[in-house]
Amino acid sequence: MQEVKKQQKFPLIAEITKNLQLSDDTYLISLNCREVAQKALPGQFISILCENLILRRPFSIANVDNDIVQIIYKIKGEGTQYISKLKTGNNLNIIGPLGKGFNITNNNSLLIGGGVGIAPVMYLSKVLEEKRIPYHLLAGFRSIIDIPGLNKSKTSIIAEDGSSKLSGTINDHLEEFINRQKPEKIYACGPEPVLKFIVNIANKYNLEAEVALEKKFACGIGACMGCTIQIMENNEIKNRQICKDGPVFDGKSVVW
Amino acid sequence: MVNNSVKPDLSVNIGDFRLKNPIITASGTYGYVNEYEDFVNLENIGAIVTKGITLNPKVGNPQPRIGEVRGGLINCIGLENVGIHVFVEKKLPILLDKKINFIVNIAGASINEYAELAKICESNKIKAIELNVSCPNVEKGCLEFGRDKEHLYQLVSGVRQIFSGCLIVKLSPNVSNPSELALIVEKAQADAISAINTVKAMQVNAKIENGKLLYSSVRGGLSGSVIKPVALNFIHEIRQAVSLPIIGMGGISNISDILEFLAVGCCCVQVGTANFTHPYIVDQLVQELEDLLIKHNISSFKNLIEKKGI
Repeated sequence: MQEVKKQQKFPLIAEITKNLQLSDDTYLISLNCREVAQKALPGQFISILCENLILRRPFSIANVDNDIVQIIYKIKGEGTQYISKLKTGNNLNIIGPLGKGFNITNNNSLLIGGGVGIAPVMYLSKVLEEKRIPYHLLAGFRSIIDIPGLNKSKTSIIAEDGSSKLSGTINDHLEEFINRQKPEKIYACGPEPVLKFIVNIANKYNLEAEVALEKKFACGIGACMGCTIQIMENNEIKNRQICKDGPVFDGKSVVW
Repeated sequence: MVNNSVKPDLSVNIGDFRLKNPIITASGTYGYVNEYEDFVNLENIGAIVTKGITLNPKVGNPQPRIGEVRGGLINCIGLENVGIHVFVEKKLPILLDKKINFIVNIAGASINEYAELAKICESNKIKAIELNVSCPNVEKGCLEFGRDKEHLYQLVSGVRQIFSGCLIVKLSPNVSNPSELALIVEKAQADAISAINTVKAMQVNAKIENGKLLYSSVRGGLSGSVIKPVALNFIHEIRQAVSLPIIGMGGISNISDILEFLAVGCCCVQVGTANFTHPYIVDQLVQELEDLLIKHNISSFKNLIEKKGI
């Protein structure tokens, strides 16, 4: 019995219910996948098989609504190009949810997403909302993007090209938001230099900071050692795998 | 669908090492122990080969460690691993507890390190080891053990004297004399050869920026379907030279790939990179092999590999 159950577990076949273009190169895709929807926590990811490519492509979960799982992706290469051409009704072979998500605590929180790094913090904002934990979300883009599902009253969007009320970068506005929102904890995802900056500022204000990281890996389950990073734990440098031990880490422990 | 048929016997032996079926997962692609247990029934696998294990823990190479090319994967992990002592203490009990059939892949920087590793494996009653001989010999100008007949003989015969279980030597394709090296392995009394290890390769991303040609690159070992023809040819060559059992690998991702490796003289196969693409693949391959034998009315896998025509 157990054997049969195991064999049926993966791969998961998820039907695309919508593949919505948000900007020139950014998309929001909705997948019908109860198995992932029931288990997914903010910060976890799914890994998608892309036609003939050897490596699956990992994406943070951006939202879960009943059986629907959403991810946000930007066209960067062959994998995302392939996904962008898929239509409603097409199927995707996925595995997940994978990795460890954010460690949600009952603190006034500042959520920060840089580019498609908005995805995991967007899902986190929804969970915080349900748990009635106060938060504010700060999103940084090149050019303003309207993402369905974001609670606009609790979101501030910064655009580099001046297309939003706030122009510039996350780095430009971070301290102003810390002073205004008085968060006790920061959750962030985005390009590594931005995360590094955020952790430095968090340290300055003595705030907790959890960051969701990204590196290329082959497996997604801690086997290939492709995505190893170093963290400082009890004054010792240790190797950790982003895909399995993360992608979320205590920002202060990351050796950048 | 084939129903109500007698299940064929898929078992195979390498020396005294018994495998339930000829499908093995390749070192470096399957972790140490039960990393894949959400995806496959680990007890169903012929054997898993552990990640390469060294005497002392290794932190591995800096990022980036992975490059993807058409049909292939380039890795330069740099043998990141917990070291044999942590393996024995923390990983081995899990393998034994979960009744997983396994082969320990070991890698050293000197003859002494291999000997030490072999001793630890022997004293822990490990049934099978696979020697990664593509490591640089730091005592002999960092020439890879597996590229030099004399070093290779010293290494394998040295380990043979210490280790009484099944001794498998994993050969590198980055050599000009595969048959001679295979003969050395046979002469040193190993039980089997596994081949091929990854092929040296480089991925280059080039672009012109501000009138300058710029590039980034990843250099390392190439695996995946792109190396299958290299692997088949390598095995074909060494098959003419030695009568040792050969465990074939290099780009296997489906049942017809497996048949090709059996056809050129392998008794077992290893599946590597395909586990990354389809982490559930070994369960499927074992099932497909069983179905294939039933379909062709072959009662045992051993019959299939013995009755091979040329």
